[in-house]
Amino acid sequence: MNIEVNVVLDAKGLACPMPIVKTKKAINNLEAGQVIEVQATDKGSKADLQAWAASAGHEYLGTIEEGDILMHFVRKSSGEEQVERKYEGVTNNEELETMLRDENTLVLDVREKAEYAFKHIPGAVSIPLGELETKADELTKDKNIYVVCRTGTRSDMAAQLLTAKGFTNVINVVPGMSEWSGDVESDIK
Amino acid sequence: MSETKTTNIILFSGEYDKAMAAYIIANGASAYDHEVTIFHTFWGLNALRKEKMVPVKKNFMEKMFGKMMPRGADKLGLSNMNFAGMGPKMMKGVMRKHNALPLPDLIDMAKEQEVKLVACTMTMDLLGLHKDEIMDDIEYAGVAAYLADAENGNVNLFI
Repeated sequence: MNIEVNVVLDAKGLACPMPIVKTKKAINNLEAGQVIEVQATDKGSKADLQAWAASAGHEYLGTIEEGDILMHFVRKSSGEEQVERKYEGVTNNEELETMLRDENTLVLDVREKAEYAFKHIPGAVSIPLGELETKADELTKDKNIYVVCRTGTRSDMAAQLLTAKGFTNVINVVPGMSEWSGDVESDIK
Repeated sequence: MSETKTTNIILFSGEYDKAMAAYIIANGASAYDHEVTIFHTFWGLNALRKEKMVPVKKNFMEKMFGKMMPRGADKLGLSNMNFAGMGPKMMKGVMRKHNALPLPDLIDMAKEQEVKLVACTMTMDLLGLHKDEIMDDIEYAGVAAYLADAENGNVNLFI
């Protein structure tokens, strides 16, 4: 399957330590929050990349295996934890979990496509924050929109943007997917 | 994130496989954003030798050392199964098959990643190696400089 990413790095056929070295170089050229797909055939690259991402503060999203090829997805650290949230309509994960039973609830996931693909709330609509400006019209104004991201920062900006576009019933879910304990589903088999 | 971590490797051995392990760890640590230093001493200095013969004035013993020791990273033997020089050829063939980088490339990449390569001046004197015989972009230091790096280090290896 194909997942939208910002950069694809071909590290196929390369042996340790090249996949990590190349990933590090490539990620330096990315902007914060962008996603890289690393294609590798080195069997150790999965454990390597996981450990490396954790140490460097990047977010390891997951790996898809297709035959001999491993496709790893990593999101560059964004420092979003430090940003102050401004949007006032806020709720928490537990609240959203109970509201999921309400059919007037619409969950909008504003994380990157790759983050969404590996793990999301069942039925959540995926529009990455960067595309929300153009795609907001696809959303219905009749429902209560619960915006989620990983930590509550991107969803804060998304909620502000939606309000500016005339949506009235927008609620930001804090913290969001990083601590989500309810049901999840994945597009990856 | 916390302050930069450091990896310090002492490369004492002059065998291809051991030097390769040292340089793979160094390159990996550098990708981990560690400040990496490889301190070359004794036989490890041979990995830094230029392949070309460089004319320098030496006494008899130094000349003998110079002739007996491998000239440069590509000429190093193996620590195991060297088979009088056949081992390294076999190893390099296997490495090509598996796409592992050969030692000279690993050294180049380490330089590119700003790994600090240090040659121990005291052992250079013992083995009669001159700076002219060592490749460029190498720092020269003694044990104190190594300890200064290592005392606050996170990873310390003696290979």
